[in-house]
Amino acid sequence: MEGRLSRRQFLLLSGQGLAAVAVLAACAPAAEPTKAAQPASASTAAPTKAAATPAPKAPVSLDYLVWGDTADIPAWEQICKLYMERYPHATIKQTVVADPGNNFYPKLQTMIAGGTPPHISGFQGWEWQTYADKGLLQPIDDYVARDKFTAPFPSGIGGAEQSTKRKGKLYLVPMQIATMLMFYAKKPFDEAGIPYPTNDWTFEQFLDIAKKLTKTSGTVKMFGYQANGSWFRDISWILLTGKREFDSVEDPKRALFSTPEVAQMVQIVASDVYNTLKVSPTAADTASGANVIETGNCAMKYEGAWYFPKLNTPELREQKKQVEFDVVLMPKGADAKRTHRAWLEGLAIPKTKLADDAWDFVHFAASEEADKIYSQVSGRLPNTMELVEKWWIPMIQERFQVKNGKAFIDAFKVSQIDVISGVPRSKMWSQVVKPVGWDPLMAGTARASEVLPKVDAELQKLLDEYWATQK
Amino acid sequence: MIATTRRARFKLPSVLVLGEWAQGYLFASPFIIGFAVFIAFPMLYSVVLAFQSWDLLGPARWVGFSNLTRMVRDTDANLSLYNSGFYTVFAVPLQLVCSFLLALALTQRLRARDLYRAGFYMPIIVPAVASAVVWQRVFHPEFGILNDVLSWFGIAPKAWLFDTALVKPAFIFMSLWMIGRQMVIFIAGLGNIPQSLYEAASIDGAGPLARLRHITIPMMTPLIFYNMVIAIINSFQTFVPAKIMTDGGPEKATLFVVLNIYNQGFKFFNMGYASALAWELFIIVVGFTIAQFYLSRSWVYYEE
Repeated sequence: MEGRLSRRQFLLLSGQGLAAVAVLAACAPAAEPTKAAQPASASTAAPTKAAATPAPKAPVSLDYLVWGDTADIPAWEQICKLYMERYPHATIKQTVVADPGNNFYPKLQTMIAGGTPPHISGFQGWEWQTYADKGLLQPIDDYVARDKFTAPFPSGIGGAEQSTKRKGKLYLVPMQIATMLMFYAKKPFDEAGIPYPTNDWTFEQFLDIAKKLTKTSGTVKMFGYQANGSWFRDISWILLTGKREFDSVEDPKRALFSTPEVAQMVQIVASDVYNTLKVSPTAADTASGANVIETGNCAMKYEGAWYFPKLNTPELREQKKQVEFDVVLMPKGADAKRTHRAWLEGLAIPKTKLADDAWDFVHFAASEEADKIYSQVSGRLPNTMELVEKWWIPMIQERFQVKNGKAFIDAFKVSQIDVISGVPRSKMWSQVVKPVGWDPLMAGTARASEVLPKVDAELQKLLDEYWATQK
Repeated sequence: MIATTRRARFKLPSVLVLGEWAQGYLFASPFIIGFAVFIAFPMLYSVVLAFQSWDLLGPARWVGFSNLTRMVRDTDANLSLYNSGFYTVFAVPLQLVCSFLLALALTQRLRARDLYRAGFYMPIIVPAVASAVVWQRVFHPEFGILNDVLSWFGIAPKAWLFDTALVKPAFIFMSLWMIGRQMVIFIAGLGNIPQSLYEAASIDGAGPLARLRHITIPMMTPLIFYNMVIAIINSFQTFVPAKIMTDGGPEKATLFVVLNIYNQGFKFFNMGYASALAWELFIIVVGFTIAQFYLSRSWVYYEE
């Protein structure tokens, strides 16, 4: 029939049509211009708009890379929803990273390398500095000054300044003040007739209690202490010695893991607790979430406030699945100051053309109203000491039945931050400290006196390489 | 006549022919563009990266041959090659034998034979991550089904994924989960062996084993060879189970080559070094494949 298309012609025309559409799509302007890996010079300039300008704003879509575990995600959903209700021009697109401890920074780094950094990113207080050093983060001093936003930058907490400032410039807006304490489940203590630990207990008492509470011969195992198997968390034990693993907590030049006092402590907490004292479940014991404190198989664990929702909430109590617990300061050691770890975590603004809009969201998220939501849902401490004392401690007593919440404040008074370096702590851990040090220690195949000199040597290489690039 | 033909050879293609070429390229363009952008360019770019140091954040820095020299001295890189080699040496023959035996069994007259075939093929369509999680449970030291089964025979429970001596055998055992694809290829091959050969052999007095040895296996050598080449390549590229189940542990016993490359790239952010390692793997795999093709002349039988 005249005018009828053959199959071949039809396919050809379809192909041409699709190709034309593809070409047009490729030529269309990007939905939202971001130039990531190259710092946007415009956004480094001081913010120009007034904070309280009520004029209607153009629609804006912000990508937010969320740091957090399952307890944080619902909190962020609530905060983002509230923000979008208040400011309908803004859309916040959350990207949640599964297993953030392993995957968050690789995700962020690849986003930056791909030229599509998030407009807002969660950060731990010791990890953003590398990004700031490379000019990838927006300094926020001008925003803070403009909006007179000083409340969430607490004073009097060791590590607060290092967590938020770098080389005199402010980068991180805290969502939480963080420290960690010893959590203890009450039931094993009650069953063994052992009094609960108190704030004045010692390291020797801790080990003694852990041994007494450990019973692994029956069908249901009970371990006295659930070790964390991580250098970061074992820093709390290292602090008891009064020594540190580096010559300086900020921008160290020498690694000192093999100092005798540090090595002796690491031997106990990273190896003996599993292999000789056997008071802690091994990785095999805790596989797939078995034999941990929240399953009722461990009596003590070094944790942070974010762990509250896993142990005891109104919902868990309703289902009779709660673990009755409380917290206590870390035991006393040789360190007369009894230093605890502390840091701040929060939000930073990668340099993009939407830095002003990103700041608006960050400002809102760190406000008392939003921060209370964050804190209540996730259990985490809020971002000012005033809120901690007046609101958070009563709240956790009611919601999570934590009676010794004041221990968190006591810990802050004697706190110090973990190492902050141009070599990210995550890189130190994954490339050196874990494979060379902690893995063989935990497996019981080497002693601290053997592996920690190697850890020092390998870390020293990383530090030297870093400092060589700074000359 | 000859001169005319010669002139015709140098004749430019007609508009019709050029149009057909254009159409051909147009239809092939999705693949050509996809290949160029997502495969060829990254591969070539990784050659450049192998001579650079790049942490994804700052600009890449030219470092000459230092990534290559580091590769030779790096104990982790060498260990990962050993781990992958060990896994390949044991897993591939085991996979081939099991899948071949399975194919032989499933070409017999069995009730619900297709159901069995589908069942053995099923793991192939299960996402690798899901499989890894399932096997993590299978190998669980306290609640795992494998230890349960072994306990029936009085064997004490083992920490399969947490013992340096057991974890590689556990991975090799687990690799049998994925032999469905090899099995299907063997089944197809077995169906194509001419029945007349078996009849002739039977007339000559050959029993089942003799027929297997002198007819089935020789006739299947092209497919055995194909499956072996693919299995070796896949074994060297093992990544997901090691990442999900052990993250290279315990004590790097499952630090396979691709996991090491991933760690260097996305954990330690040594992109240049990771590229160098990737090319090392590429050369090794290509080398193995060429060697196999060379050796295949002596044992693979192709029907004329």
